[in-house]
Amino acid sequence: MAGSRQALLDKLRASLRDKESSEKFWGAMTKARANRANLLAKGQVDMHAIKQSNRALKASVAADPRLVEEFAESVRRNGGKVFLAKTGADALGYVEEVSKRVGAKLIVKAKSLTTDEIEFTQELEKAGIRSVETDLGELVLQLACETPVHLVMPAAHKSVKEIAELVSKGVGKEVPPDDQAILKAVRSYLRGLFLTAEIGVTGANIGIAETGSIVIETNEGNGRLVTTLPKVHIVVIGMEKIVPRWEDATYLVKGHSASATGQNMTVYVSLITQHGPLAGSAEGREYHVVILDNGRSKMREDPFFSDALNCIRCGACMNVCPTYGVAGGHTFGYIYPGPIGIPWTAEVHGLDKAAFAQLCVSCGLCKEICPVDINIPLMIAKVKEEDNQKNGQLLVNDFFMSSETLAKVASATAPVSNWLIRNGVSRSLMQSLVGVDKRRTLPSFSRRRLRKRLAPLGSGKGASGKVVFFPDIYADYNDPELGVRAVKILLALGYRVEVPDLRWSGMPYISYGDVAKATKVARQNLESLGPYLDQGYSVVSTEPTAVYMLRDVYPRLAPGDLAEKAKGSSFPFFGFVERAVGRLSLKPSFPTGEPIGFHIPCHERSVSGGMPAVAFLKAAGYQVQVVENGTCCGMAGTFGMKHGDLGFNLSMEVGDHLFRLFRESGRKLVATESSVCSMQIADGVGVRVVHPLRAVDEVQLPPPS
Amino acid sequence: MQRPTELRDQQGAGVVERFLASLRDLHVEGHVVKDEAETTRVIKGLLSKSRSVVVAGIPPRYARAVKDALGGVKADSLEDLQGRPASEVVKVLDAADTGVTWAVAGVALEGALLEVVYDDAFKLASSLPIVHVALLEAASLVPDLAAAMPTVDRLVKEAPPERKPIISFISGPSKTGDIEMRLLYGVHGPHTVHAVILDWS
Repeated sequence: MAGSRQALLDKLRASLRDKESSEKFWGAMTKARANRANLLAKGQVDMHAIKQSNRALKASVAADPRLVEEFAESVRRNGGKVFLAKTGADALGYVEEVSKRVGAKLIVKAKSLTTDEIEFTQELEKAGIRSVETDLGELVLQLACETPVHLVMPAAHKSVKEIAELVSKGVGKEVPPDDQAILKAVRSYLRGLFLTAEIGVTGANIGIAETGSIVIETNEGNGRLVTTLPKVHIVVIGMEKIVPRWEDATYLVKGHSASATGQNMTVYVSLITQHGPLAGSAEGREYHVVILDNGRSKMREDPFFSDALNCIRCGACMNVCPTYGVAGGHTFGYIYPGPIGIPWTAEVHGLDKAAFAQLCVSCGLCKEICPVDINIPLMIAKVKEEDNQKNGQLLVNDFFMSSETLAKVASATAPVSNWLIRNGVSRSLMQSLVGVDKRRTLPSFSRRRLRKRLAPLGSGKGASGKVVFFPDIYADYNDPELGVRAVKILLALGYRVEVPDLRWSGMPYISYGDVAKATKVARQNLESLGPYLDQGYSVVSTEPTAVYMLRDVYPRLAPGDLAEKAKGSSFPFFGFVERAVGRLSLKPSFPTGEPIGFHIPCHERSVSGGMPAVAFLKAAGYQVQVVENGTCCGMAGTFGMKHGDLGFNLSMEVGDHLFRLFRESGRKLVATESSVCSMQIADGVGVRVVHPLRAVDEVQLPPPS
Repeated sequence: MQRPTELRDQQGAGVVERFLASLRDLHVEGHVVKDEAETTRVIKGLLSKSRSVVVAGIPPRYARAVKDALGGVKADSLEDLQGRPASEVVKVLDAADTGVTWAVAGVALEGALLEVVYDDAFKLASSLPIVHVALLEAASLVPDLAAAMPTVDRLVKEAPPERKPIISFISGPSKTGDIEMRLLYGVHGPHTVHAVILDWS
């Protein structure tokens, strides 16, 4: 992958330079997010129920060999032929054999990512069989000899002009760059092919084991023609798509359409159990189902990558991924693009094709939006780990994975460390020797750490409950005063507060692919928290990432009762105090004449959505304006501190979209809960950014009795 | 086709209104008709620009209303074409600009028509023409997809292995977002869909 890494950097550089394409692609992803959000806003789709149902279903059945056998048997019972393809080559060989037997010269194909995975069209062409894509986006890509940039919107990067040129080439006559002219030309051209093709090939969104049926979800109507007009219908279905019964299909259909395109259902949902007769004639009509393994059985056995089998190919993770939105699917992808494309590529196409894993910044938004609640970031961390084991770790990544040690040293040597952080010469050295970008404003360190500062306050009596405060790095080494303010509020609300000697949350280990170290930290922290959890303590943190780790990552790294208990007992600070805020007399530290801007950090989205902090600011008398584009600010922990394209440059390119919104808002003061988002917005917008706790005067406690 | 029994018990108040609202969102024109004369009049209006119509799967109770609406328009019924070579039937279907078909149920929340056929020619009647007119009974409406799924389950399971149903949910005209993500109607399937909701009491 070392060569692949260089190729990735070259592609990324080109993507960052091509501002026009990047801007267009970002706009497409923004629109896709808006389509989904608009549907959810109507209140007709219960995404929470969809997630829960799909998760429970898929996690128990994906690629289960018993279900595969049941499905195969049902297809055979209905007269269909089944071929179990161990590899892509096996599947292609079978299709070629059928094609030659029936004398097929032309295959019409519906959009199918599973066939894309095995490079169906290209391989069949090599065997002398013409295979034509009939989905408009896929047809455009076939004419352009390109792979999809997106699972659902494969040609989202093409302009109407480019599409018209390609379609002109395909249909053999000039087609103007006009939407309706393109549609008319494509309809007319493909209609002739539908009517003459001997074979129609489709994928399947779902397979129903009990009846041997398949579900195909489409919008354009090409799928209906592919499955009816040709004499032979061949289905290529990934073995992970098979579920036990019809009732299992409902939430999968709903989750897919809502997440993919913001539709309640796709226009056509076809439920096919065999290739029916045409005008009363069954002569020559054959139905074949190729069930593709191609690495899926191996994935099923893997504790990390088995989760990828739960994917329903909706593409929502792409729509929300910040770096994919800038880099585009040809840089951030191989055949499978985007976040979920990383584990799939590593597993079915090989680790060397998955170098684009390094573009993931571990913001966690892909997990948050996924309608099957797949922990994509964790699988990506594992891909990065395997890449690092094979090709070595970048020095700058090693540096940031040592943040805990570095923070200890910097804190112990402050103010010298702070002088070095601000000094141009030392920053140039840090950039050239370690790879920390000198343009990034880094936070100062405090010599006096949190626990020392808290000592005079006492632990409180605990009339309201018991809390462990988890400071993580920032509220311990950089801004312990923030931790003090949080603890004072907890004490004022009647909580007993303990701050045990915990380690950091360990997020950079996930970001840079050292799952082993992340697991070690998770175990150590859980062990330290164990006695408190047993006594009914809640764990509260001002750092969204810490709560995200406790809730979404530790339970996967160190599964067991303790991790589950910690997951259920962990809260973001403002979410925890939300209902009691009215009991505090909060006073604003800044003028309240104009609204304060607010940014929701990525990791906060999954833990509280950010609204409790907004409520806190409002309780202090502020008007709050949430400035939001639905994705990441680009900083992503320490990613934006790294020098170069795979760091600061990409980070600022992602951030630029949010910076513009903040500038347009006119807000001079911004609040956000994340320490690193603060740095990004301050650097990118040039406004003052504070933690919400620093937007209010410190809560005063009576002296301990 | 007999309306599936379990669908009869699942109607809630306002299901027709919900269905019509969903259809509007999906660019489908819904028409509630109260009797045979109105059915004929509405369908006739929908076919006013049609030059070649193919009719498929209309139950006997409503056949006359449809037939009367076809006066003066070149029309073929798939049932009447039985026994003709498949290639000939496909030619008729390909040449038709309007398909008039039957939906066994409507799904209110999703605005979907549930089409159940046993021959692909009948599926092509709602796939190849540029205009699709679907007829369904108001009494066949179910609240949502989950409520329709048991019917699918039963129809597939009850059918003998050699004659399984070909089932489709259709919610709107054919569409694409593949050109700069603009929502464009009319690709390979019908550009216009009408749902004629038969509420004959």
